Amino acid sequence: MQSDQPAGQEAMELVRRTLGSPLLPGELGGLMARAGVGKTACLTHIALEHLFQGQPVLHVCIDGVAEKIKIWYQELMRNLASSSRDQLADLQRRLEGKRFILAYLHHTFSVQKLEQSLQNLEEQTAFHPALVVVDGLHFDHDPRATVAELHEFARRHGVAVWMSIRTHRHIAISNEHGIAYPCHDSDDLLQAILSLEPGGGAIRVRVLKHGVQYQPEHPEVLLNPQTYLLRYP
Amino acid sequence: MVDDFAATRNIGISAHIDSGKTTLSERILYYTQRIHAIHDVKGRDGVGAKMDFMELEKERGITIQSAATYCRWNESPINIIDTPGHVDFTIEVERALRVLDGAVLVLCAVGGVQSQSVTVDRQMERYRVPRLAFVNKCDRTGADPLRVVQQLREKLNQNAVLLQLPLGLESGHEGVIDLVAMKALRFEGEHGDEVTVGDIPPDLLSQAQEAREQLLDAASLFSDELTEAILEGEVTDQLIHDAIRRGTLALRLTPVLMGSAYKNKGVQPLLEAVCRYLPGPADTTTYARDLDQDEAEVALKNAPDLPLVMLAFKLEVSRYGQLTYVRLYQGTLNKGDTIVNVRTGKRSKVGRLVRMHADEMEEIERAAVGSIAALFGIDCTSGDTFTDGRVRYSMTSMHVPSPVISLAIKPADKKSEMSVSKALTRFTKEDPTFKTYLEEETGETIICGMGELHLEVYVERMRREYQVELTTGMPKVAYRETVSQRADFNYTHKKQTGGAGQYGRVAGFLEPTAEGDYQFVNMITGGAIPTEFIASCDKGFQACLKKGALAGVPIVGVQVAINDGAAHSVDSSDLAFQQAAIGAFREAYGKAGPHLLEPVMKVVVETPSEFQGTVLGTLNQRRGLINTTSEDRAFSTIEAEVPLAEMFGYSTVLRSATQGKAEFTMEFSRYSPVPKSIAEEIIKRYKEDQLSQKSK
Repeated sequence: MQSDQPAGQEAMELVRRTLGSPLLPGELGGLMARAGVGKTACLTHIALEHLFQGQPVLHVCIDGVAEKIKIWYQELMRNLASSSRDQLADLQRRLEGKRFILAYLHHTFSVQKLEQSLQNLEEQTAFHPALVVVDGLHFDHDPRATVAELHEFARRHGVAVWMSIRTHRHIAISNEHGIAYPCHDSDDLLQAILSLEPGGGAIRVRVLKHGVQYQPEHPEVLLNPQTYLLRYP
Repeated sequence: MVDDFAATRNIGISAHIDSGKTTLSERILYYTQRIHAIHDVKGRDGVGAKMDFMELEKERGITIQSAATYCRWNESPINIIDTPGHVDFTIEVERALRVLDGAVLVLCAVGGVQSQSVTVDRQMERYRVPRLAFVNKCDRTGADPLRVVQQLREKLNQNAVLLQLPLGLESGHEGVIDLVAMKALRFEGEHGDEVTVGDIPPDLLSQAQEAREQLLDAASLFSDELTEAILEGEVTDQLIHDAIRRGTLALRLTPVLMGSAYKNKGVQPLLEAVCRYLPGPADTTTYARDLDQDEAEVALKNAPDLPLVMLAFKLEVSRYGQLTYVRLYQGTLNKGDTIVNVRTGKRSKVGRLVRMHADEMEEIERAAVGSIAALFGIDCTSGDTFTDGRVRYSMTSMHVPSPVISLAIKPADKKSEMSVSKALTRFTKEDPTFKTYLEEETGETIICGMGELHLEVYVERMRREYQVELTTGMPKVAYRETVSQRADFNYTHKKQTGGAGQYGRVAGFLEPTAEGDYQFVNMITGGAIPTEFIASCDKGFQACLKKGALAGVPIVGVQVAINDGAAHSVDSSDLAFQQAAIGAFREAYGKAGPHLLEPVMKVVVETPSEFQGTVLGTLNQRRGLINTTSEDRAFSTIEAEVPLAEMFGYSTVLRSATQGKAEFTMEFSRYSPVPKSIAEEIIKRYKEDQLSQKSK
């Protein structure tokens, strides 16, 4: 464990307070950042927080292999759980029983396919997620339509959905609340928006929107750029 | 004849089942003029492919045993091991990889990187085997070699670099575009023997140029000369070849070639690539342990005059007697030489030395360093090291997984009994994952292995090769028992029945451990148990591990510590302390939370996406923990962990649930506690069996 990392429950509490709790069933949240800043790690933190509370998580990985996501879970669990090797293996197995990873390779993702897969899981395995994490979604065409589709999906299934949103350095569009492209015209559909901002040897987690409030005050939380673990400043 | 050492290539051909690797091997033999006719794998012409020489393999169209064969391509001697694709026979793949210098990973242009390819690749990585990829079946409908290359990068994390582009695909597949020479290669004549070199068709030229740029970018990372030549516009083919070879040998680049072995396209350039880019014995360093120097590691030298060191990596009982395949790592082996088995110290004379060509052989006088040969009449087991007696080196032993399934077999008559015994002796020597023992209580012969198919094949071989008539029981899962908490013991063994008595007291505790199956800790101070009886205690405890009290299966994951005891100057003995330890273990075991463990398999199902839901259902019904589902175009790959006990007959269920369109592989993952209700059932059955045995 890193010396700057709060141990076990403390770290989970950090996630809950800053990132995890804003969403209720049927609501949609977005995590914005540039490529390579730590969106996957942060989403995995959010997912783990739910898993630690015993809530099933469906982790959707778009254009990436499931193995990569599994490794993130293992790594974060290893760092978060201050337990022996045996206990960790046991914890991993317990959490894995409540987590399901769906990967869509080579641009095969669509919300319709996700619906179908979720239906299969619910009918065939009685798996009912409380949280769906969508990582790696593309917003190349009509970002609002994409967000709207996922918003509708969350509402219909009564699940909280967190998704990653990639921002681009070269697109300087943002709305009056400071929400950048591609969410500048769909922030009304998002219950919570977080952003990851690198600088000064750390990655700052900022809450851009929570409920109807923009730029609310919140405890400052950083992501260690080496380990992608959360920490206090 | 001494082979050209530097030019020798010892290669394996590994892949997912049905990727066409046996067909590819067959074509290689044809083009290297080892055979003069081509036969189909499934033996439609009644002959069958040369490498699948076992009758059963011909019938099922799968490769069960690896067959070694020798050929030459442009003065390069090549030893090829054709390896099986089914995961049940993975030990064959592992043994082959251990002795190979390089490998060809065959992938299907339609199926892409499938589950078994991932397993095989992991094994290659374990043994640091540089590889080439060959994307086969480019003539099939749906063939997409570029997608396969992408999968190699994504799924196997390989730096896969195209050396060729397809010249047409599916029914229009004519050949390949060589991106180094920038020429189009077509394969003409009845069996594609005539390779014609022509210009790249204009409509493919820009794609080829772009792919060549990517190739040069990737290769230049391994060669400053090539980087300079690119900048100066003076790139030569040789510079590119050298850079690719360097990257391949460092396992940092995987050259990708393509074609269709079945349609005789792309095989000759693959052979060129094997000779050009894969390492020979001169490029690799193998280490052994010097038993005379406290097992210090020594690097073996590829020198013909140094003491001989060779590894027996495969045994077979052929119709000519026992055949031992060896790989020479140092020195030279001559017919008539005396060799020493380092494990047993036994000396043997090399009577016959042969080079194998599937099931045919060629007598040779001498085998050079780096080569693969076969010997007759040598008594050893797979994995033994041989030397000429001048050194006592041992090669590192190979990773051998434990069997997870067992089956009772019963010969029908006395004659069959003899033959079964003969067959089992042979199979256990040949295959370290295949084990056998006699169940004392029932008198049944039990065979154990890595999966249903694994055992099925051996039973079938007994019937066919030994004309044995036998009946088999239901396959049984290899359950284990373990403990979940610490429990103390303090047991006194005392017996006085006239003559010398027996006395021993043992105190301590047992507790769970993750460090192996069993650990013994001696915490005795002050000689409460005399030193000479400590080993007796250990022996007594170990005797208890063979059969647990719950279901009569071995106990694993237990640490036993002794911290007190007592002895008698006359009545204490080795036997008394063994008995005391047995009593102590029994006393504590019931209090230590004993429970059953079962083998859990990692199951990977590949299915058309329309059956995703159905397949999920079949796995869920089997107590499966479904971990991931990946969708790629029209296919879904589902990964789950399922108890082995639930997997019997799954292939039939899957076939009928998916109209035969899905396939699955499974391999052992871990042992996991059996759910309470099922454990109770198993324990009840065991107790009933015990009672019925007693009443008999």
